[in-house]
Formats: sequence, structure tokens, C-alpha cells
Amino acid sequence: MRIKLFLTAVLSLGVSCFAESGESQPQSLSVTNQAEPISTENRQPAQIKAKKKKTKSQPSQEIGLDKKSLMIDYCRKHTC
Amino acid sequence: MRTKILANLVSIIFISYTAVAVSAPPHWSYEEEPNWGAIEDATQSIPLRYPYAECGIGKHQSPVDLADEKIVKSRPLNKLAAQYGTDTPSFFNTGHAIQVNTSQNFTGGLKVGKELLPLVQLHFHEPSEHVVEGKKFPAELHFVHINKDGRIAVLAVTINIGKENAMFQTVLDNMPYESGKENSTSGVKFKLAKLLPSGMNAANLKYLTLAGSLTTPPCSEGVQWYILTKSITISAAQLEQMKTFYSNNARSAQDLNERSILSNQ
Repeated sequence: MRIKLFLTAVLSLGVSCFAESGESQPQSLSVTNQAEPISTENRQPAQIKAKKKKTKSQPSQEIGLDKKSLMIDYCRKHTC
Repeated sequence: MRTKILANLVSIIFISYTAVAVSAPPHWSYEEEPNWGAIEDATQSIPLRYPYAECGIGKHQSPVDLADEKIVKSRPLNKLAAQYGTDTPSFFNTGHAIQVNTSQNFTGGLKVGKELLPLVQLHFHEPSEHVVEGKKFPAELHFVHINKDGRIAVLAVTINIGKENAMFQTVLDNMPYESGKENSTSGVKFKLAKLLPSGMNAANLKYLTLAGSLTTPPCSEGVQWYILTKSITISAAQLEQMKTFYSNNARSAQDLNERSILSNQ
């Protein structure tokens, strides 16, 4: 039982580590595009309408901030 | 038996994580510049297998030839002001150039119209990357700025041989010789504006501008370039000292294609 619990914990840790490393190691650096729009193609119109008010400016601001810090980090470590 | 399986599992997860975490972009050099676009990252599948593809297929690449006949002077442009002040930066040998990274709390930058673009780093190329009618300058300085959306603007200053530049000497004297090393403990008070052309009003710079790219892999486009119309000088001895770090670390001029080079003069 203890081994099972330990195994589960280790697997969870492993998965979260993979996810994290994927975020922090962008393989392709592109500065051409503006903040990428969040795809709404698969959502139902009603869902989009309901979420529109709440998320009007936040996502693009957050993506902008992420992109900014990624770019700053990249340019401090490389001759960009 | 169970313990053995458990130990193996932990090892596999650790090794896999390490492999992902340390996977770095593939190595490149100036000698292989014509083939940057074809450099492969064997650890990735298509399209990530060719991380520098834009170097080969991009249509808005930098640097370019700033020949007179390509320059358009008819459009009103943003006022450009260098608000750099003083910083206590770190001196970083990137493996491809000598670079000065501004401190985390540095507030200076380039004001384009009403927007202030924070200065992140500056670095040097020898010889210049931008050319005029095919002619290169002895060296070129790039001030790299990143705005709130993560977009890059570079202020480029061509360098001629002449009077010694004391600030450039500070860069040389504090730069580590070892590739990948950073000197962040110098405590040097660095007056960035001393690397701008004397006699040019920092609050109203004279420049050429065009849309371009990073001049190093991955050659990402969407970079706005501002190239000052006046050079700074360093002494011949300083240029020789610079070459002891890096020489020929300059990309060749790229096709202008459909772009215009605009002038604010």
C-alpha cells in the first residue's frame, strides 16, 4: 500500500515536472506575431458570449507579460 | 522485486526529465551562416526539427544594405529619444559576442513616440552588420529593447575608428574571456549615453528605420530597427582588443525584398 502511494506521488511529480519544463523551454522563438489569440473555434457561441465579459482584456495582457519575460530572459542569455 | 521496479521507475522519470530540461537549442556559428536555416535539432520532430528555418526562408531579415537610393524621406516618423542614464550592469560573454546586460531594476530605455521601450542589453559585432553600398564599418553596437508585448526594437550604432571611447573600454576591461561567463559583481557605474554619437541630441535622434529580424539564429522577424545616421568612434587599439573576444561575428546583408527604409531627416 505504501509503495502504491509512493508510486502515485512520484508519477504525479514526474508529470508536473514535464509540464513545467515544456513551458520554460520554448523551442521556437518567434517575435513576429502579436499575442496569440486564444482559439474559440471549438466552443459553443453561448459559451463564448458568457465568457466574453470576464476575459475581455485579461488573456492578452497575461500572454503579453509572459512573452515579455520570456523574451527578456532569452535576450539576456543570448545575443539576440 | 517491488523495490527494484520502483527504483527503475524513479530513474526513468529522473533521466527523462533531465533530458527535457537541459535540451538546448542547437549550436550555430558564423562560419555556417549560409546554412543556418538548415541546422537540425535531432531531438525534435517537424516543424521544430529546423528551429532556425526563418534564417533561410524569412523575407524580412536583418541586417540590410542602407544604400542611399533605398531610403525614403517623405514620411513623418516618431520622435526617438534615448533615455538611458546610468546603470550597474553585468558583463556577459555570450559565446557569440560581448554583451552588457542591464540590471533588473534599470528603468532606462528608448522612447519611441510616447512609448518607452526598456533597454535589456547591448552587444557588439565586428565588423558591422549593416552596410552602406556594400561597405562595412569596423564594428556595430546594438541596444536591445523589449516592450510590454514582448516585441523587440534595436537601436543600432555603427562604429568607426578614431578617438578612444572610455565607456567601451569599461566594457572590454570587465568582460570575462570565458564563453558563457557573466561578471555581475563589477559594481561599475555605467553611463550608457556615452555609447551614443557625440553631438547628436539624445532626445531627438536622427535615424533610419525598417522592419527586420534578429541577426542571429533563430532570426525571428518582427524586430523594429532604428539605425543612427551618425557613428561613434573607438580607437584602433580598442578594436584589436575587441577582436581578442570575437572577430567576424557579423551576419551578411540580407535582401530588402518589399521593405522600405525610412528616414526622419
